[in-house]
Amino acid sequence: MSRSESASTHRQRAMTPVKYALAYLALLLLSLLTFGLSFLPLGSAEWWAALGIAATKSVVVALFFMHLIEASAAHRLAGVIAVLLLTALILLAMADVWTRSPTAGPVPSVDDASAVASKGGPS
Amino acid sequence: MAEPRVHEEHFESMQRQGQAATLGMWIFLASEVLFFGALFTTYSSYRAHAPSAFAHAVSQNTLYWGSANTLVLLTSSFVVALSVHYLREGRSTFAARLALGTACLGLLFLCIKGYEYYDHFQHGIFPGGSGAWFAAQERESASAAFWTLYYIMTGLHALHVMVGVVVLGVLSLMVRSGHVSRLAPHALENGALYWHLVDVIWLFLWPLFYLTRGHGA
Repeated sequence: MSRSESASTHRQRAMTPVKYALAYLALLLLSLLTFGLSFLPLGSAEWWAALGIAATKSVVVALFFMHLIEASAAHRLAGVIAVLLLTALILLAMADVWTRSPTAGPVPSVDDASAVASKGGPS
Repeated sequence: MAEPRVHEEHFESMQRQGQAATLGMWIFLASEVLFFGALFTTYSSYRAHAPSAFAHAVSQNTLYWGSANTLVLLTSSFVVALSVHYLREGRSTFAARLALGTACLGLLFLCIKGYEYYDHFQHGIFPGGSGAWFAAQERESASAAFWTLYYIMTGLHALHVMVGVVVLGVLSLMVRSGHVSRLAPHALENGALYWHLVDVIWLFLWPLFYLTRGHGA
């Protein structure tokens, strides 16, 4: 093997300009969908729909634009571990927010704090 | 044109050198994900305590400018992916132009973001939440929390965009001069990876600060 041989000759290339264009089109359609949904009365589902679509778009970017679909196992592992650690960080932190014991009393809400302040409550 | 690149002595081949460089880039990106992850966690925690106030604050943001920036960043990600593709194909001049185009789209993003900040300042919406505008809000402290997080998170993201613009601008010159080529495309590949991560972070900032306005909540 030549010392100057390119890595590109070794790597299987699944991506073509047409596939990049299709991925881009999918991202635009998903963006249009989440933009349109933001005008609908979805209640609390709006939050989860928006984040779900954002996560889907991130997967499209990672797989096709960032080439995870054709990457080595080591590169995929780095990406997967990052997502797992991020999930643990958010879920464990939010678990405290969602399940704080009532006996300990609620965490003072910033909503409540504003309400108290606006009524001239205790300083 | 520069001489074709050979791999460093401590690597077996250019392929191995490229794999090591890309793995290092992925590990760096993982640290960036956790960095922004802490900020997203902070946002989620505050929003869980004041969902209606945050939704109201989102509705006060510049929806259309933020959405335009989403289009700009998605397009820039597509363009830089093509740049890497054509560099691997050996079409260096075209690849350099696409990399420069990506940097220009990054500049357009920053211009739009800068205009948004200017517009917010004109209305008296400053980081920290002090001033007449915040005093007039129904839930002043929640509004202050939202807008402070907005400036911190979008500001740090914009800082990353600035770095990306400089990196891609330099890479464009390196591709044009032949210092980055089909034989050693890893620098542009890694610059593109960084740019895509910047795009991914915005894909989450957009709904959190512009879209989730709580209709029907």
